[in-house]
Amino acid sequence: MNCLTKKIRIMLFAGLKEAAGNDYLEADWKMGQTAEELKKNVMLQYPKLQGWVSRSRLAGNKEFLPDSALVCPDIELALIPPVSGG
Amino acid sequence: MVDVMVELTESTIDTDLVLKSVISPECGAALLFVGSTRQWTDQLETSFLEYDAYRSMALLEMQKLVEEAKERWGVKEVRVVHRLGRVEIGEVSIAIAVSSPHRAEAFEAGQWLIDEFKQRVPIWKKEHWKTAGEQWIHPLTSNDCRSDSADGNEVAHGNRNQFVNNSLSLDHTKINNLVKPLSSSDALDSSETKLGS
Repeated sequence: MNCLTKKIRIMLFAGLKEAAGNDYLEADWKMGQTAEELKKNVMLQYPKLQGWVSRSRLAGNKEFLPDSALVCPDIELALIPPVSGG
Repeated sequence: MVDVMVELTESTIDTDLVLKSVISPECGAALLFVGSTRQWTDQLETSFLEYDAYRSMALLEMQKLVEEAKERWGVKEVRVVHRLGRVEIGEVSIAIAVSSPHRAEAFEAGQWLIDEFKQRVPIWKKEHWKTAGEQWIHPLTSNDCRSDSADGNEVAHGNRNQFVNNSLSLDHTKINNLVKPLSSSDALDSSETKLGS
């Protein structure tokens, strides 16, 4: 492995967690990848989760990431499906 | 003060305490919003609700909401408490208390707080239906169901599009015939249902 790519973990919750059968998934991070690109990557890697991932927002270090944000591989990443608290 | 403004708890929420915690001599108005588990969603009967959260992020988002509300409306004290785990019918799942020198700001901030909470805070509820299994509730598109104000009841009985967890290819699964499942606060349900209608 070189420093331009890396395996990363993304936390999952609620229906997405159940759909995946796990509370995280592994994805391939590439240098220069934006949040939107990472989501697209995950959808390609996990076609069965495509609908879930497309509706979920990516969070990095507990903050929602804009689509254009560059993803740093060493932060805490999570996919946030539509929320329903209250 | 900062560390007690927002809270996640597995225990019963003491709503009196939440309200009292925001009352201060500078404020002539204090209000409390309470969301509780509804038994019936049209023909569907809820047995109980279960809440899960991305706890650390939920607390941060709740904190941001409190700070934004203070900044935008100049309200004095805000407290937001959400329950996690199993919540029985009629039990409180969320309590939001706001105080301000005059009532108008408190009402506006309170409405905004619960609306924003439902859009931004990573907490999810699972319906345990009496006769229809269980179901994570995921409003179809969080951003689309944003509403600037409560719309009354006219949309409250529209279809509430959502997708469920019982199939891996559920991305196209919408339960169009499930009318307004879920949540605790009527004011919010009406804004959420806007999306689907």
